[in-house]
Amino acid sequence: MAESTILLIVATIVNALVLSSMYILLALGFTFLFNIMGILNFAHGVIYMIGAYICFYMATVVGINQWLALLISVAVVGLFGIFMERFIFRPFFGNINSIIVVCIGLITVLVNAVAISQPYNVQVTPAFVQGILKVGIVSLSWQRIVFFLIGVSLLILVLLFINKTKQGLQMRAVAQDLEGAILQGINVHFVSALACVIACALAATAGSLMGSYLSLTPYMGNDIMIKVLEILVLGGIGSINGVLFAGLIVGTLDAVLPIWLSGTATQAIMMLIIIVILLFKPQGLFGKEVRA
Amino acid sequence: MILSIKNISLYYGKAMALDNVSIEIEDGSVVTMIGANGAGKSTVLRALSGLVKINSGEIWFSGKRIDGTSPTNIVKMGIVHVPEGRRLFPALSVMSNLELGASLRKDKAGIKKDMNEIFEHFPRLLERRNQSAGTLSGGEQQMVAIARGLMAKPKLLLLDEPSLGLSPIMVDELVPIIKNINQTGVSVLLVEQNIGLALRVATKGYALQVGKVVMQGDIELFKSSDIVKRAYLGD
Amino acid sequence: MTKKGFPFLLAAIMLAAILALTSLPGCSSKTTTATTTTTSASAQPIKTYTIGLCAELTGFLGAYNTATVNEAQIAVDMVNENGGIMVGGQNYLLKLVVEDGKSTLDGTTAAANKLIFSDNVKFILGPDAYFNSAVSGLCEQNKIMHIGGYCTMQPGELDSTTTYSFLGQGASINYFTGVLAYLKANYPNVKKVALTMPDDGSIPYFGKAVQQMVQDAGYTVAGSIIGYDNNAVDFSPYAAKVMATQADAVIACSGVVLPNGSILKNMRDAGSNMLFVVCNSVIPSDYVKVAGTKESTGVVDCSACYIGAPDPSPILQEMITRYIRSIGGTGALVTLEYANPVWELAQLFNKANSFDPAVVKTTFENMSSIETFYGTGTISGLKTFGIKHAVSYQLPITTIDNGVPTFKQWEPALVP
Repeated sequence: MAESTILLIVATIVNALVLSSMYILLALGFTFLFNIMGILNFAHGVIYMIGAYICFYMATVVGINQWLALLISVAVVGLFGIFMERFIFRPFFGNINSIIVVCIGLITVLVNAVAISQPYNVQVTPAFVQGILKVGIVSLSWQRIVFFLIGVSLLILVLLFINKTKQGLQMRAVAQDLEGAILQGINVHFVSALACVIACALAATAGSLMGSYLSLTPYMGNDIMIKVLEILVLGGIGSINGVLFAGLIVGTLDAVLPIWLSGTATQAIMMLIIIVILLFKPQGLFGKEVRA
Repeated sequence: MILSIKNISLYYGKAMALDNVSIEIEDGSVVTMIGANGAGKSTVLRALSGLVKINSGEIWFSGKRIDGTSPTNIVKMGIVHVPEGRRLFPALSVMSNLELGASLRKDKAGIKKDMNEIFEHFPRLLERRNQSAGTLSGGEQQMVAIARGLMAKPKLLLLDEPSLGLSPIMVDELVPIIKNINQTGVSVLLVEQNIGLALRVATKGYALQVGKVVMQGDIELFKSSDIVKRAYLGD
Repeated sequence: MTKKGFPFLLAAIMLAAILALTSLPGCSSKTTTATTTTTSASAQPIKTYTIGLCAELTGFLGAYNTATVNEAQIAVDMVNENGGIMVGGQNYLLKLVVEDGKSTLDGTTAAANKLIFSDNVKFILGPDAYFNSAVSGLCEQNKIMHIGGYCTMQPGELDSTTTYSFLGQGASINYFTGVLAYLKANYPNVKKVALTMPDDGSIPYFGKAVQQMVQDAGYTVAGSIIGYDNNAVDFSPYAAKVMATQADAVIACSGVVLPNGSILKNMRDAGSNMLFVVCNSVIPSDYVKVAGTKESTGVVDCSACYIGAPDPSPILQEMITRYIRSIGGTGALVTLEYANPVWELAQLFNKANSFDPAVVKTTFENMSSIETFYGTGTISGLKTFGIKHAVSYQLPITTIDNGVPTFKQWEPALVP
């Protein structure tokens, strides 16, 4: 195999893994909120953007250790999750139209607040991890490998939390039958707040990392939200397995398609692939018929 | 009295669902509440477990006033509601469903012990303990629902239409189950449209009609009542 | 569709709409309304003459064009404060009317129509990017003189059939000429180059032209041109493609800051120190914002973006001072892509002594040079465009190392 082909294959595999893991972190949070509170939090993308900017601000303007900046971003955005549950989602519980309007409001306010306050349209968080891994002719950024490992570890942690802890069991119970859960004495508000915190913290982590992996713009949340929606539709909304699988597909396509295609054809082919899959599986790959 | 419902009224919007309803349950008894669809039976239970707020009246449980208390605290106090339609967690295993019944309990050993006891009483659940609840038969699901309720160690168990959708044989099986529960000291409020089941297990009865108590008293009274016979037994 | 499915679909559609809305860099249209072309002639001996500017004030070029329109307005102010123009013995002040092309071909066509038939202008400047094709044909039919601000060499932008259209600055091909000349003179070790550009339809035209130029200059082109999606979330795959060519240098032939900066960053992150050459309309320091300080290294930039050459001409110095003041004290000029056409047109009016587009056009064609903010421009382009209608001028070469842009030299970049 030609040297250049090997280089391309290795780089593409790494890109696909990093992108997929970050997409999945976001889509998983979105799915959490949908399953547990029945809300479609379209503001999830701006939460990701805010997380990215907090980390950027802490690391470059305040100048603290970058990993600490990441933790602060996660903590602040996680707390914001509690605020969202209490003051945004709870008052409009069960009213999908109101939630959409509130989310649009949140998107507009936060995106424009950041756009106005930032002197540059595009910025970047410095690298979290310096250095390059060299194996023969292949050279890879350590940062990419570390980001992938962080992504995978968080995914495992979250899945363990859902499947192995009492709170996780309660979350699944709330997701499956809200009233049934209330009647077991489960504190649904607490479970919802917990879901919000987890979803926001995951979004902030992905945002903080992506601020260094990609770049920061006030509109970064919108681009990524389209990816999240692609993943949800493809995987079947509400399905965690669907998120994992579809996240891997979308991330891989995003890394692989540009190798052969260029320009907007990439997005078109991506949509075509998704549409073809949905023709055979209208519920998404792992979707179930939703109860009427 | 373990439970006293005093003159409660409840509106859904402008529609009156309960009109001045009073119900009393003696400690350790099985009381049934019968009535047609829409009579307000389930609403009484939903008000008891805190799912809906009453507009007037009072609810007292073990000497404490509980109307306005959150569902979590009501479960904590010992009122457990096994709802109509069972409302199991269909994708979770039977074991997980039972564990969730004990959500508010902290005594791990006690939970373990109670679960073993339940499996003794319901051997079929033991066989199916790792199966998702959604895949069980109607009768098995009802057993899981009751068992899940028992896992919370209730003082008062509210059973809403346990016979709904069950075959006559399965309904017969419910009689000893409810009686057994009662014998362990748990008071039961049984809401039923299946009057046969209600008359076989209860000692006292209330009949509701469009949100009002129209008849109450010893279960014998119900057995001999012409109204009940006409309305429910088809005589 | 299930009960829950429909609201989801509805919500998804609404979300798409809101995302599209919030993505627009500048949401308010800054279109100047059309006014009469002369004002109070009896009281004032000086008359006003209106010229049109077709710009992309909203859409993906919104933020960038808002800045370049600002530069154009400053150029108009400078013309007027120097006494305006003199045509037929009458003194005129220039007035700029701007229509928004919304960063689309349809929008730009509509804007050009509005300028011609509603604002009744006879001279149109702009637009940006590949939108000339929406303007040049209209101007040809209606005998309106047109001086474009950029050109991607797609059909209908500027060729032998668009006799009323000119290119006020050589733009991408001008930048490319400059960077290639600098590369040839200063990096003798570079033999094999990779080429990238946005896949916005210009690859078969502009791409083909630059590929030929690179080959003519004696370089090997590594593989085919690497086109990228301007809206990609992650540009790493394109960086991987560039690195896999194992070329000595990569030339980012055109495009905006986000994709080019991202590709640079991804290459450096992965340990590539391939020379990164850019020739597009981006302030060099903006690369550092996108790619990061450490990653912004080994970059050679040639564009119309002025970063502080030591010897600005008086008019350039004046432009810089006014521009910086207008944006509140800090920043840098963008590209003067509309300001240079304004400056050129003012000279043409004086020289032609006429407002007849046919006369002004002939005057332009018969000139060999014209003054621009970047020094004396040469009027050429016969080989490149098939018509001698393009102004090219010297451009600043900037290098960026460890996040610090440094002015190197003025590169004469004559478009053949």
